[in-house]
This record gives sequence, C-alpha cells and structure tokens, in this order.
Amino acid sequence: MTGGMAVPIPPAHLAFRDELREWLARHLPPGGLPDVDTVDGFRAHQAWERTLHAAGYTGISWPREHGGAGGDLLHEAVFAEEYERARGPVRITRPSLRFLGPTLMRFGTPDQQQRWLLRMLRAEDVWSQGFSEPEAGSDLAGVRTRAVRQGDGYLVEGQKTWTTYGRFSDWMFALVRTGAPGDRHRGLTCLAVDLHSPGVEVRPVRQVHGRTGFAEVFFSGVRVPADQRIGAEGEGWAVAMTLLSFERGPDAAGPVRSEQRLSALAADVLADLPPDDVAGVRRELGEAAARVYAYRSHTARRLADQWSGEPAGAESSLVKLFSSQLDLDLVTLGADLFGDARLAEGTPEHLDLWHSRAGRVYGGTAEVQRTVVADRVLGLPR
Amino acid sequence: MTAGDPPELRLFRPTDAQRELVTGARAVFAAAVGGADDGPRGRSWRAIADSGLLGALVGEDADGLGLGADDLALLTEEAGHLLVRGPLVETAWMAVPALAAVGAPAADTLAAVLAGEVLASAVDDTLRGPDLGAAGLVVVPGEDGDRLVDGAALGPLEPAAAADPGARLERAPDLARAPGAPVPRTGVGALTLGRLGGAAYLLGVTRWLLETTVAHATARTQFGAPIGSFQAVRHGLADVHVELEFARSAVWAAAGELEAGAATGRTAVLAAAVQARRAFALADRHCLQVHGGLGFTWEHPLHRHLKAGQTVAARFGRGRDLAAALGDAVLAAARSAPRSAPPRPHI
Repeated sequence: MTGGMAVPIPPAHLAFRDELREWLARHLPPGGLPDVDTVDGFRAHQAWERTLHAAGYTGISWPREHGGAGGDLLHEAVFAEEYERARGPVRITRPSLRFLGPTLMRFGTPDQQQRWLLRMLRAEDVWSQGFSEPEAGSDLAGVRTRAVRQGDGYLVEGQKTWTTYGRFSDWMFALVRTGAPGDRHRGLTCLAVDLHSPGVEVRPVRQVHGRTGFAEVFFSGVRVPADQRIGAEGEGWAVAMTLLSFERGPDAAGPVRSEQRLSALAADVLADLPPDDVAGVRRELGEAAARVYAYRSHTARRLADQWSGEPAGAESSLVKLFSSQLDLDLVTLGADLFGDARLAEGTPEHLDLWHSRAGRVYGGTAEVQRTVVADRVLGLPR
Repeated sequence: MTAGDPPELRLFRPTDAQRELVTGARAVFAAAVGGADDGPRGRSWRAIADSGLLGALVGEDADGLGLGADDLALLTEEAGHLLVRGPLVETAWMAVPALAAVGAPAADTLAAVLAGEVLASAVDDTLRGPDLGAAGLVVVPGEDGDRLVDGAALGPLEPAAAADPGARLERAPDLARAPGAPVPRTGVGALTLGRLGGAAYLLGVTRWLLETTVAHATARTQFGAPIGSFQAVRHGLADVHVELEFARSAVWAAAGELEAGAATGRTAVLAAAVQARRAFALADRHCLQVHGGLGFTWEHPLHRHLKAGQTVAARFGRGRDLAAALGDAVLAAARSAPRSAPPRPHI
C-alpha cells in the first residue's frame, strides 16, 4: 500500500557491477602491488591508477569534461564496494577523488581545472591535502602558515603536518593565512602549492606502525603564483568546509573493510584458539557482527538518502563515531584473544591495530565528532 | 553471513506515503494511551484494533492493510515511543501472520482477532506473554515450527515477574505440553518476526528516552549553566544518538530482507535485535544518569520507559543469547571460507 522502503537499483547499475566484477577478476594484479610505502611501490600504484583510468574505473562520478566516467554516486558506491571486496590496491588518489578534485570543480577557474584535474585523476600529479599544522589539528581555524601577497604571487612561510602521501606528492591543496594572525576562520585562503618549488622541504613522519605514509612539509619563502589560488582571497574557510563536506560523503567500502576484519578474526578463532575456548567467543563475535550489519545498513540508508538528493548534514560524524569504535573494538578483541605476539611489527594485524586506533583521530577526532552531533543534531546548549 | 556470496546491496528510505502512515498511526496510539491503562478488554486496545493496524501484515482480501514488515516497523517504533500497552507485537507481528499462514481453517479466528473480539498473544521461551489470561489464542514459537494454542488450553497461569509492571506479563508453565495447531512454515517464523517487532518497539522507547533527556539537559541549570552544555553530558547523549540511528538502520534493513524473502532474513533480524538492545542499554545508562536524582522519583515518567525497555530487551531472547546465535553464524561462515587477513590500511 505504501510501496515500501526499498529503493530499486537501476538495471544499468547492476550491469555496471557485473562488468566491474569481471574486469577486476581479470585485471587485479595477482599478489597485489609492491609496498606503497616504497619509491618503486608508489610508482607502481601511480601506474595502476592509469590502468584504472583507461578502463573508465576512476573518477567514476566525475564529469566527462574533467576526464571522469560521468557516473553518479551509486556507481561510485558499487565500485567502492566491489573493489574493496576484491581487495584491490590502495588508492593513492583517494584524497583527490573524494574531495580535492570535487572542490576544484566547485571553486577552481576553468584554467585551473584544465591544468590539474585530468593529471590528478591519472595520478600523473599526486596531490595531498595541506590543512593540519602542529598548532591546528582539531582546531582548523588556528592555521598559522602565512601567505603574503607579493607582486603577482604569494610568499608562503610555515609548516603543514600529517600530509598524506606527502613524501611522494607533487602538489598540495593548502589552507593558509592571508589575513591578520588571530583572525581565526576569517583571513584564510586556499593555494595550490607546487611541492617541487624552491623552499619546500618534505620530511616523512615515521608513525607508530613504522610506516611513512604521512609527512611534515615546511615552507621557507615559497613563491606561489596568484593563478594558483583556489577561490578568492579570504574565502579559504568556505572552500575548506566544502572540501570537508565532500570528504564526509558515504563510503561504501567502509562496511566491507569491517566485514573483512571480522571474517579474518573469526577464521583466526577457529584456527588458533583451543577448541574448548571457541564457545566463549561466540557472543563477542556476534555482538561485533550485529554492529557490522548495522554499519552496512546505515551506509545503504545514507546512500539512498543522498541519491534522492538529501544533503549530507552532520551524518558523517555519526558514521565516523560508530565505525571507528567498531573497528577499534574488533582489533582490540583480536589482541585480547591472541596476545601480544599478534602485535609484533610486520604482521597485518599489527598494522590494522594501529591504523584502526588512528581512526578515532584522523578526519576529526571522536571528541570533535561528538560535539558536532551534540550541537547540530541534538541541539544541546553550548 | 561473512563468507560466500557478497551481501546484496539493498537501498532503502521511508517514502512520503510511509510518513503519512506513521502520522496516522501516531494519532491512533496517542488516543489509545491517553487515559489510564484499562487492560486487555479496555477502550485503549479496542481503539487500536478498530484502526486496523493489527492487520498490517495481512492482505486486504483478509481485511488486513497489506503492509510490509518495513511499514509495520515504522508503526511499531511509534507504539514504543508512546508506550502502547498490550500484545501489540504479539498480535500484529506474530499471531496475525501465523493465522494467515494457516489459511482458510483459521479465517474466522483471524477476522475476530482483527476486529478486536478475540485477543491474541504469544510467548517466548520464558513461557511468558502479555494478557495470557484474556487471550483466545496464543502463538508458541518452536524450533520445529510454531503452534497456535487455544486460550482455554494454556493450563494454569501465574503472574510473571518483569521489570515493567505495565507489561501485564503472565506465565503459562505447562504451555510446552499444551495441544496446539501447527502453523505451516511460510517465512521466517513467529519468533523472528516477534524479535523484529520487539526491536522496532525498543527503537521508540529509546528515542523517547533520548528526546526527554535532551529536553531535561537543556532546561536544567547547575553551576549557572544548562547541564547540556557540559561536555561529559553532551558526549554521552551523542553516543546514544549514534547507536540509536544505526539500530534504526539495522531494523529497517532487516525488515527489507524479510520483505524480499532473503535467505539471510533470520540472521539480519538477530543483528537488528542485538543492535537495538545495545542502543537501549546505552540510553538506559546515560539518560537515567543525566536526570540525576530526579530520575529516581516515581513521579517522573522516566522510569516507565526505562522499565518498559528493560522488559522488551529481555523478550524473544536475551541480548547475550541472540549475540551468541549470531556468533555461531559468523563462525559457520568462517568455516566454509578461505582464511584471510584483515584489510590493509587505506593510507
């Protein structure tokens, strides 16, 4: 009588999924690519991005004029889910695809779009996001890196940190201060900084799990031409907020990763626990499975909402809070069951544990996300 | 459930028609709970029966509404929010579909239940059910199929202890031996349906707790500021909201799986029921805490929803048992899948 809640998936998207499954089965590099944290490995991942592009499998929802496949967010979701399920190589273009590119499409000039987007998509140029600083983590309005207007350009002084793929990046989408110090979110501007410019120094940051996917980037008198400014001077906060809203769209790969985490743990329980101990873990596995199911369900619900044109709002904070706690609990259960031998450096579980723990911090700490929910969803007094 | 074929991507979203349905049902429920609880034969229950909502899951040819499990989940959440008493889940989710599955031989009974002339109820494995003494028939879920037991054949009844004094639970200790008519297996069975209905009801209870507590935290001032401005209070309530929203997503998704006749329907309902209990348990803890001493007074309505939630959360299986059953499904899937590693970091 009401037609029900089910939103049918168009046949074209199902056909896209079937073709994709077949393509992945044929083309995924057997045994994966070399480690992305090495020079050769990174180059191999760049080449893989070009393979994906040639097949029409990157920039899936980007317009064709920018080199994309012209699909919609449901195509993106189908791809993300299938690619993750097939355990495709890490996407070094992830920041570009999800938020740097879409922000350039919104705020960039036609010249900038032509100059950067296609090369970004094909990983000919690798882009990183330059927002965080030592004194501006959760509090982004505290950005201190200065850009002073000089002739037809800017002179940039300061430091960015937690720059993903900073070690291998060619460009940085940087948030800098063009106004007076202490002006908070006023007086910020976005610049595209060529990381091969004189005065740029990149220092890889070795993280607790031993890898160097992040870097600190120092700017000493770096000259940035004015035509590399993204948006107007002083418009940086609006650009940054738009960028973050793209970052927070539904990610259909997330629940798949949590499912894989749970499956791997269940297999370990069967293989490595004394048989008499297995029964004692049923409940914990089941509780985790319920949360994984809820995560998958919620992702489908959000996807349907956004596909129907509903704005994302503060929804992404909920997802971040729920999924990061779930993943953290899963890796913690693994450590609890199998002891610290599992946490020795070099094991996949060691990497997963530390990466999952970081999930409570990166992209906005759990505390900031809870505050967003309290303010914007619950409307609690401040 | 974590191996074999990948789970089907099912998108879902309440429609405008469903929102209208909820608004209508809310008015019915609100009118029904307006006065004092007048028991199984009272005006309140009568009003609900008259609205037709009890027949949500059966076709219009049998004087039902021809709705789906997802529609009924939305309605049941409203019932939980308003704390509708009586065998609502037991009737709409369990007895009515069971009678419909029996078909022609039970057509008269079904009509009488839908008209509110015969009261239906159901038990779980604690052999407890609401209003058993007044029930004309009782659904007894079983491993090997469900049975419909005539109200006269229940054997002796005793008052059953429960957290919620308004739940009107009675216990039929000899029910396992009572004669009953087998219900043909047409879907997931009464227990799974009751579980999903209970989970939907629990969503409504939890939503009421959160709304009431947000209002309290906004109005109540201590140390010269509303207590809802203190981070410890805000963050606890934010966590409740998160767990509740994900529970709602799980309930809706599980209802959709039942609608689609998916083979994974039973485990989906287990998952939804566990997540709904998890959300309620967190609300139970934080919402009482935020109310401070006020939450411990009989005059404040908070305890009614807390107790109702505790009773619903223990019905159709305790959370720990449902989780263990779900854990068995995870282990069974792992047995038939190749061993795998956790996912690699995506940065």
